[in-house]
Amino acid sequence: MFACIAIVQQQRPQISQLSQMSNISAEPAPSADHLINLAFCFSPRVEPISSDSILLDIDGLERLFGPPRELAQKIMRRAGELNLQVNIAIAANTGTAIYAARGLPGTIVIPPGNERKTLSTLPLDLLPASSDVQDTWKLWGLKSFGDLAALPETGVAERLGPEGARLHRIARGTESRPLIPFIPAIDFYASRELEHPVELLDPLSFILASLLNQLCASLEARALAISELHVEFKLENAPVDASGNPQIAQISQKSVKSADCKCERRLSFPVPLRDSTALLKLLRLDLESHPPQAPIIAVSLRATPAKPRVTQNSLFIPPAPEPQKLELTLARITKLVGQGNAGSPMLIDTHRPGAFEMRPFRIQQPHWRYKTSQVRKGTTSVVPNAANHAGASAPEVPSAAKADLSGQSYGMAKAIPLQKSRGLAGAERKSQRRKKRSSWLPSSPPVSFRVFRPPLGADVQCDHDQPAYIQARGIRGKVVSCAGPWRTSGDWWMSDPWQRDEWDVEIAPLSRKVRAATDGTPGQALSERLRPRSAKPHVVTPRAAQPPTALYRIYRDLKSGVWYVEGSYD
Amino acid sequence: MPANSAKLGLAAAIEAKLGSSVFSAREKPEPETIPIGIREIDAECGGIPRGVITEITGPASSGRTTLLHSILAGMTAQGEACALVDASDAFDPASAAAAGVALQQLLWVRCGTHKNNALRVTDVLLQNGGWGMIVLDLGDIDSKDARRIPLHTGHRFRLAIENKPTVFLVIGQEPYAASCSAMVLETHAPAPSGKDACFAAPFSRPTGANPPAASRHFRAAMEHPGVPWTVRERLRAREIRI
Repeated sequence: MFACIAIVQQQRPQISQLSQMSNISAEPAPSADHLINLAFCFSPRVEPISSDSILLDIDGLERLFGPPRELAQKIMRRAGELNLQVNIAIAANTGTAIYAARGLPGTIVIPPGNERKTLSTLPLDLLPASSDVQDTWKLWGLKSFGDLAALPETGVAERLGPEGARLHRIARGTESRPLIPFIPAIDFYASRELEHPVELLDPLSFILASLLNQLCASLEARALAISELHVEFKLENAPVDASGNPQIAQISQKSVKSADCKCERRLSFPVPLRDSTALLKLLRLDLESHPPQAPIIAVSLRATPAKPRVTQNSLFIPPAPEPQKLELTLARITKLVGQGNAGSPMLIDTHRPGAFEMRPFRIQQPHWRYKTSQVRKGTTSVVPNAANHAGASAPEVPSAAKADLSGQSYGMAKAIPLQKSRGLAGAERKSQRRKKRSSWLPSSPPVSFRVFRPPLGADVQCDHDQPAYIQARGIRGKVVSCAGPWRTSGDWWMSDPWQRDEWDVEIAPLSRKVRAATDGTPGQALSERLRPRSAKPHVVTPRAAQPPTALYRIYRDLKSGVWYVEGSYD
Repeated sequence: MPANSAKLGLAAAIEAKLGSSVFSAREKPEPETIPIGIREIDAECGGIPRGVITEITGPASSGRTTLLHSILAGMTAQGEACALVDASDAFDPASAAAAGVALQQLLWVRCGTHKNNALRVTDVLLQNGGWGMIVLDLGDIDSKDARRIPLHTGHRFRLAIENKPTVFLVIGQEPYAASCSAMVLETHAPAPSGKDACFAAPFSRPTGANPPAASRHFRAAMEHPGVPWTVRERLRAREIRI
């Protein structure tokens, strides 16, 4: 059963044309808001038809409000309390309820089967027909719903098309469609004005905690979580600079600060949160980093709702930090080491040495897929998707680097490949399985590099155009062997081009005796102190003492001619 | 030992009164280990244990970082979340990616040169839990500075990591965690190899890649037994020399 409430003609707002039955008015007028509130008092399933009428699904409301006639009277009484003069019609289908409410005064309950008879007296002007159809009706001499209903359906459809057929069904009281429930947009907002200005974080935390509890409770009732939290503080007085203008604080990535005595913070969470304690901690950490510039006199929180993340742990997926805890941990770490110093590194597609960018760290769930061939056989096994997950780092390697690395073991790219094992002997299959299990271990891993940030300025003495001695902070020694130079350059079209000669050098640290000799007298140039091997007979060669050596990458900036130690191979 | 004899006597008296099943040995279960790719070590002790402190120590250019990247590659391949606390900002993402580390699975915390920050960050990460591996890289911190790390830090870390399925690695020039570490993996830099052994001649090297010249140096060290690795396993009180 459906009920339709329509505002009587005198109270109706000025509407140019009644909207189509299926259309919902985009922005309800104030009277429409009252109508929606009135409808929600009786049924949770309502649909605003236009700004002056609303449809209710009243199935199952008998036990609450009694039979339909009693319900109609209660609705009428409630509308009177809201100063609304309405017509109410209850019918078995939506079309009949809507047009009966619009055309018949007071309350009417139409029993099933009486729809055509009840609607027959209504004028055809109520139907949302186009001007051509209305002209045709005038030519045919039709004036009421009854006249139209008396015509044969096939004949009307042939002459007036689908629109005519639909209007004919409405006139006969057989037009029905499902109700499209209206879900009001809920604003998750909580605010509080303070009696006294608050300057300290601890008393403010109590207020924030209570507001967050309210927000989280209302979100929990609707099975939602917070994806973004917008906090606004009203300040007692804005800080003023020397010229008397209000100061505008530095705009950080998370915050927007305006000069009109307000401080706004915006916290975005990669995973929707609903834990008020965790939210409070995050908010506290943020406020410690970006404190408001003046005492606070009002606080308001507005939450952007989102569906909470639902994860199901699996036996085959390794455990990972809890997303909520991780957010808190990352916020704490960021507070310790500074913004941009904690995250996942990502290589940039450039030849510039040491280029990378930091991205926020997110827990990556491995992609698992089933081997279909084995599923068919009945032995299901789950393996990580090597292409998507294990080799995920491969696309990040610069294209130039890929060429060189192609011969090396890409631990991940080779990880647990999906191979057909059909037709193999049992022992062979076993050995393959063993290989798969340990295939992520690189057989001969590429040498790793440790970077000195910033690169160490070095004094390098060359012999026959090759580095012979090196001295930098913490590094001093004779070059035992070297390889190079590799000349690289790039970004010449930009403001900071680079051009350099790189060398890989093996350095043997000098013995104490030699170090004392090379320290020399003050004022003596290093280049003089560090003479070539041939010209310095007292230098003890490292080979004799066999001390451990170290490998470094050095380079000479061709623009400035300065030598640097970029890092060490380790 | 009088204390021991007294203890045994007391135990015998209690057993006589209450029965022989009063005292039963409660052995600590062996920690789960993950293979690290060095055949001898994996065969002897199964790899690196979880839930305890493991140290990789050695001088510069002894292969600590190569070993670390190899382990990180394995862990990230299994889909485990890893965290690297870089006390000297020395991590090179390019060489890690070349070693097979899935960088999106790695949280890299750059502490600049603030050693204390690195310790605090490690504390926070250990408290968080859920990590597959946490690495505290003190490799470029001067030994004198590193020795000033309070001893109780190691104890705190040991207690925090206990009973957690997390591999905790400390990279340094010397073992700093002292008795708190369950395993110490010492790497030794090879003696000077000379021109013939290490570098053949300047040869072409594409930009952005690791130089093959240098890799020969380490491959030789890693593949030939007898030189680089020493494992001291405190759990079983023995030393493995490879």
